Amino acid sequence: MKKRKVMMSLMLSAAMLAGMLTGCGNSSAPAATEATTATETTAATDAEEGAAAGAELAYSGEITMMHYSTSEESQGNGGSDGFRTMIANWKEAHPDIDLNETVLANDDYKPQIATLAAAGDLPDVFLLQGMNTKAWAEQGLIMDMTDIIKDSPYYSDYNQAYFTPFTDGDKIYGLPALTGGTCTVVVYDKAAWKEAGFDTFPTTWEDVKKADEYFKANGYTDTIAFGNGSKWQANSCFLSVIGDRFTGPDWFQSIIDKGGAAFTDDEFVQALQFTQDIFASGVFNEDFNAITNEDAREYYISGDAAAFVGGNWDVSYIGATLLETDPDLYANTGFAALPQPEGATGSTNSQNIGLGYAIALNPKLADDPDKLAAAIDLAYYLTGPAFSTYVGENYALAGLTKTANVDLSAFDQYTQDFYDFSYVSTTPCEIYDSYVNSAVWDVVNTEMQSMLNGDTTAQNVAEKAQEAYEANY
Amino acid sequence: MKKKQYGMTPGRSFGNGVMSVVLNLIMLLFSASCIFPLVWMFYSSLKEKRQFNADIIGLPKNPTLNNYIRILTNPDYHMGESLMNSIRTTLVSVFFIVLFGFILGYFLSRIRFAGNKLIWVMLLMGMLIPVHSLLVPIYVVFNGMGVNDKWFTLMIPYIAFGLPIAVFLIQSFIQEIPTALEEAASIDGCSFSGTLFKIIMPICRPVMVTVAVIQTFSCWNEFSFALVLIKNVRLQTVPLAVKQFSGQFGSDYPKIMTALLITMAPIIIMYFCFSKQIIKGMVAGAVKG
Repeated sequence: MKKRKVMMSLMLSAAMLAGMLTGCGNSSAPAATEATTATETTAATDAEEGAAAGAELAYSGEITMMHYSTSEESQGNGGSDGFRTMIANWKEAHPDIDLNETVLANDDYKPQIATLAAAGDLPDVFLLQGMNTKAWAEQGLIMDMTDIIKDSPYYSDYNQAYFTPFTDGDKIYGLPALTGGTCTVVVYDKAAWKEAGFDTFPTTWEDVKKADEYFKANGYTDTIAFGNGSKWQANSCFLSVIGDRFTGPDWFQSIIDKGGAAFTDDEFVQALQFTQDIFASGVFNEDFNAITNEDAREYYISGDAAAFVGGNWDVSYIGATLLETDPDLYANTGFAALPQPEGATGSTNSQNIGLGYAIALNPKLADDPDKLAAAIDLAYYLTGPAFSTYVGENYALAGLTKTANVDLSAFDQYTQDFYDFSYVSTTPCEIYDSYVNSAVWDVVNTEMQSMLNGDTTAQNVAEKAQEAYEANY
Repeated sequence: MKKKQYGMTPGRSFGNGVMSVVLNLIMLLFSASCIFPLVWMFYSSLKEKRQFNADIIGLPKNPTLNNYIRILTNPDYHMGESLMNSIRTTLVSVFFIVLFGFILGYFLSRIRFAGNKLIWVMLLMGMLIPVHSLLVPIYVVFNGMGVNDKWFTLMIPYIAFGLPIAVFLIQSFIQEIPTALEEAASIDGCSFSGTLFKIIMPICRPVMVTVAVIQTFSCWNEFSFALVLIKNVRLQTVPLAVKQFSGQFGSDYPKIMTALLITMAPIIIMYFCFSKQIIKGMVAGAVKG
């Protein structure tokens, strides 16, 4: 017994000692940097980009940065991959600067950055979510970057519409980062819809209902697959666009500016009512409120549904999967904007697209002009032409900076069609939850899920949204 | 010798048999509901993401170890470092929780002094105030003291917030031990610390094991402090490392399950090594506590 006790004590002591030694080793280890995978630095354009990142800077020392482009996130996500590649290039070009990165998954990034903001301890450079702009600007947590942006060598190439979520009055607080991808796209099987009598995807919901009858009679389980299990999908991937069709862009701008528009306005209530009616009509899968977009897109991939509504993140997954499992469906897949609801007077082919996050700077950087110059250089580079060229040539995506003559010939039809849908042939509108604040959207999302279940009315949802808006914004 | 059963009619015997089958079936169902998630995790870890999304419950058609290979060989996932961080943090925290809990529990149980009640109230607060409301203040204090983002950072709140339950359990256990033991030790010339560590501590071993078990799981699974106080990815613990497989718009569930299985291994090994002690400790703790 005694022997066993001694053994146990020895084991515990050894484990503790080993642990502590490991710990000491860690604490003296270099700053948190995630190794960049080899594949990320092999693109043909890297050498040029690296050179472009090599502007002379007077500062040498540490710059802290926080973002959510983890190694995992960057796999198949062009924006994340491009972002990580640009960071690696910039670091290589500035060996005297220790860019100390904290990289967390997006779900963890949001509470962590909010805690740091509450504690007044934000890193030097970080990603600002559009909906936090006004509150954080009011609290002096983010630097006014209006002049920095105007002084940018790439200013004339910036897509000015992307700055809206990061603007408060006439001040801009961030350089929109990553890639602008649509949040609402109809992915459909062109061959199936042709058989149903539609050469292209219908432009009215009445036609979708007619097609629904055909599909149900011809072995399809569902006409359009949709997943709202996490509650945000009905808002981000449906209502944002349908709302725009009923209210037009000015109404939402007025909501952002607190200019007198209300969630209880007739046009918005009509958009909610239409959303409730169309989901009750049976054109979507019955379990849309119980499954997520990840499950719903499988209905399309497996051929059970003739179409799917989701965001750009679903398009890349569907493409990669179909290419492997069903090349015919891959070749037959097309993209379309949501059909126009009856009674809606807004744009008929709008789709919500934008950049949800921007590179923001800590105002404390102003105390050290050299450090500030280095941080600005980093922000310019991460959002500049090198990034746009990289994501354009490798993923057919676009960022803040417009690049002339993106050569899409190397991409297949699927990718070219989606690029055309995202950036050329549709009218952009705002992504609701990039603005206002999360307290309001939490209420809208929860209430809307109940509404789609038939448990509450459009008017009630609008009233509750308005209450949350008045209380929190 | 076969025991004779009096007053048992064939009808009642049949009834008892049916009842026994039904009860066993119910127990079997409960057991299966406990074990199935683990089995599901295991076979899902052998699926690719696409296959999992297409059929969440079904068995893998082409089982593959790719997820294990990817997780264990990709240095960006720093799974080994996270495991070591969790093991170190948990071992040190639990050691000090049990040690301080025992000493404090003894003092509160046996010695009456001026600050006795104040310590009680402070410990009670540690249990009553929700941890989430303290995250930002603790972050600010730690930041001011320069102890954020260090290898020992998480041990401080883990020990502090683990102490209340440890003290309450140990204190109530010690109250059941007759003071005559300490008096006898004192008469025999045993010093105070000798009595504390050589006489009382061995008697308290069951409840100390109980505390250690509860706190091991609590420290191993803790998420909120780990998220807020640690920024350096090399210092992250297991719960944070597992979260990296959830992206902005979706999650790679087979990878999450693989990571969970890998990170569960130390706890399971520990359970099998100390299962006898743990069960004894749990039972003793339940009765005395």
